[in-house]
Amino acid sequence: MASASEHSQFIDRSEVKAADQTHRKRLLKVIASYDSVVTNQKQHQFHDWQSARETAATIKDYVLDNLPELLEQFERNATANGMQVLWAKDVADAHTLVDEILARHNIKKVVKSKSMTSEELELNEFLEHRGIETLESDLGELIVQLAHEKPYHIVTPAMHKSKEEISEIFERTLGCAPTHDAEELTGIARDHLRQVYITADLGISGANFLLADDGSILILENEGNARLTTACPRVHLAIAGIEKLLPSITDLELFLPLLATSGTGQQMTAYNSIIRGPKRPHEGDGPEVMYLILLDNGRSTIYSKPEVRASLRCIRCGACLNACPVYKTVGGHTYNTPYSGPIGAVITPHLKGMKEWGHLAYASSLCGACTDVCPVKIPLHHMLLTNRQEAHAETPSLFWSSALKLWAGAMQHRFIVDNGARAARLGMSLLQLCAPRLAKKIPKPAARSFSSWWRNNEE
Amino acid sequence: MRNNSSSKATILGLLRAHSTGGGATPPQAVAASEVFANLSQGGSEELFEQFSRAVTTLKGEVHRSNDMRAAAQLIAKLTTDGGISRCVRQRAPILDHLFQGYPELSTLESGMCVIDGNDSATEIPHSTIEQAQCAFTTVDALVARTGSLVLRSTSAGGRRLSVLPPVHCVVATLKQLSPSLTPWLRTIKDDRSWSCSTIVTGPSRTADIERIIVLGAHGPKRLIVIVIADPGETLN
Repeated sequence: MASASEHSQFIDRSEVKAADQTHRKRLLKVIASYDSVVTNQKQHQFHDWQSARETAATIKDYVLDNLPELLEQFERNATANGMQVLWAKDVADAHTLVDEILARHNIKKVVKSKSMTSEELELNEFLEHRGIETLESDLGELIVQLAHEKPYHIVTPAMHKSKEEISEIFERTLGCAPTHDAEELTGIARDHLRQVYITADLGISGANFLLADDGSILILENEGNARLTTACPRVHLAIAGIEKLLPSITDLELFLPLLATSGTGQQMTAYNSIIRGPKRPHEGDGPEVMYLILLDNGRSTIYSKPEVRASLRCIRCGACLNACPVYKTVGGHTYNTPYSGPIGAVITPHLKGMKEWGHLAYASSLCGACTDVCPVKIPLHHMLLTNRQEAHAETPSLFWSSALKLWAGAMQHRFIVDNGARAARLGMSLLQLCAPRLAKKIPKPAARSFSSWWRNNEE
Repeated sequence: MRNNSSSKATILGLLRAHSTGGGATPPQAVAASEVFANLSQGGSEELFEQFSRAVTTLKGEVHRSNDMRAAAQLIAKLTTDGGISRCVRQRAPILDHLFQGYPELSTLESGMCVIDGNDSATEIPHSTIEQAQCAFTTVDALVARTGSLVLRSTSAGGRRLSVLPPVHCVVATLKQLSPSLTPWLRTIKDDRSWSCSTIVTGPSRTADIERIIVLGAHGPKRLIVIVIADPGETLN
């Protein structure tokens, strides 16, 4: 029942979005602007983009091959830095840990910087239920939070909103005067959040990388909101997937520009913060305590499947979303998952269940554009095929397997093909008489079969 | 924390059952010269040119001063032009020398809040820093290729100083220029004294609204870098 509902909802939402010209125009405009800066940056900055992504893939493969050992090395070094490393098997496990942190530090107010893992945990809803005031600080995340929506895109969560819509949201929720100026809108968010950073008890962030040899986490951002989130409140909680490791701090030389290029077309993200833990006894500021939750939540399942394991190389740049013709048509919300687009279609069924989410593997034309742009060379479209196989095995359909057998049998007999087409033409004429509106939706069968044409035209 | 060790054992157990490595040597550190087409091989003048171009492209400001006096005069002019009077700064030899050694800056210094990023005794409230119009800090290094500044919590007045005020003014020297990030990454690996470091490239920005670039999203709207060619014997 559940599988039918997610799947059919996907189709319903797709039909609406695909026909929404305003939505499509906005999306294509944003993605075209992204495409041009990314192409430029790849040429300007790298000797050879292909070999850079090859190197990055090799480093991430080394991480996956040695994941348990590197996680332990990371934990040892992070603990020595004063960070408290916690492990969460699944969403319930992570929620328990967050609850304990809230109680231990008497947390009343939370400021968050962008974190996709917190979307997996539906952390905003969770905190709201506990009566904790929670505000997103990334501009895009703030916009979708105030609009009671989910992020639309891994990197640019509010890319589907126009200035006018954002003005309306700010007017309604923050009570400010309407303006259609992007700079003024940004200023409203800036002013509103200033007091929040200063008064929040807990700052929650994600992490783009975990450095095994340094025991530190990396946060990449352009706005400065993550720096403030991790500088001002007295407690910092970071949440990261267990696959986010890099072996060494020196790997940043490649991975910072790589992620910036693929994510936003920048040479470097404005702020790359390396955080080792809470403030040191001699330091003047910073949180007194820092926690890091290492989240599994289905990643070990992906790890156990050789055909899709390489999807754990992902550095969440969002390039495959921007390249995907299906994403560009149906938009981010249609997927109804934190991770949308090709990477979402690959990992979501393994994180949340193939039965309910297997249909996402079919939200692809298998054109391979996703694989071409991936900075860590994940063979995404091959994995979508693998998922299709697995989804099919999970929910075998007697109708389809018998229908395909019949089809295969019929195709091998000329007599059946020709007469089948004749029957279809007759059926269409009848349908046109009885239900012309329905007949309009169905493609017309050819006037004659190819073989009969060939017989007549053969010299 | 409750159930934590059992979760750890479960996760590592699941991974170990399918792990293929164990003992393989890590891949060699990537050489910047092999990856990047825009890595300068030149001397400090060429590095400065590249750094300056990169920062300017990002709408940051770069100024070059020949010596300390010129830098002091420049800061006096920049603050006067910008209507800046309420400032915070880091306690650091080069900044102490500038603000205490030159009369041009004495008015600015008299209203200055000075912060020691390496001293927990200075409990300065967030609001003091938030209300400042400009923050002055030093840097660890300047990266020419990307126009980046490297700040460390212990050597840039802590985590807040360089991000809360709307203008961040950095005082650096020509000698701090490096072609790539790698030399700095190697140095800080062994220094365990700091808790946070940020590689800053351009002023705070966002493109979250219709991909229109707006500066000063949550951090500084203006980033000013003053590079002093010859800061004198004691400070070089």
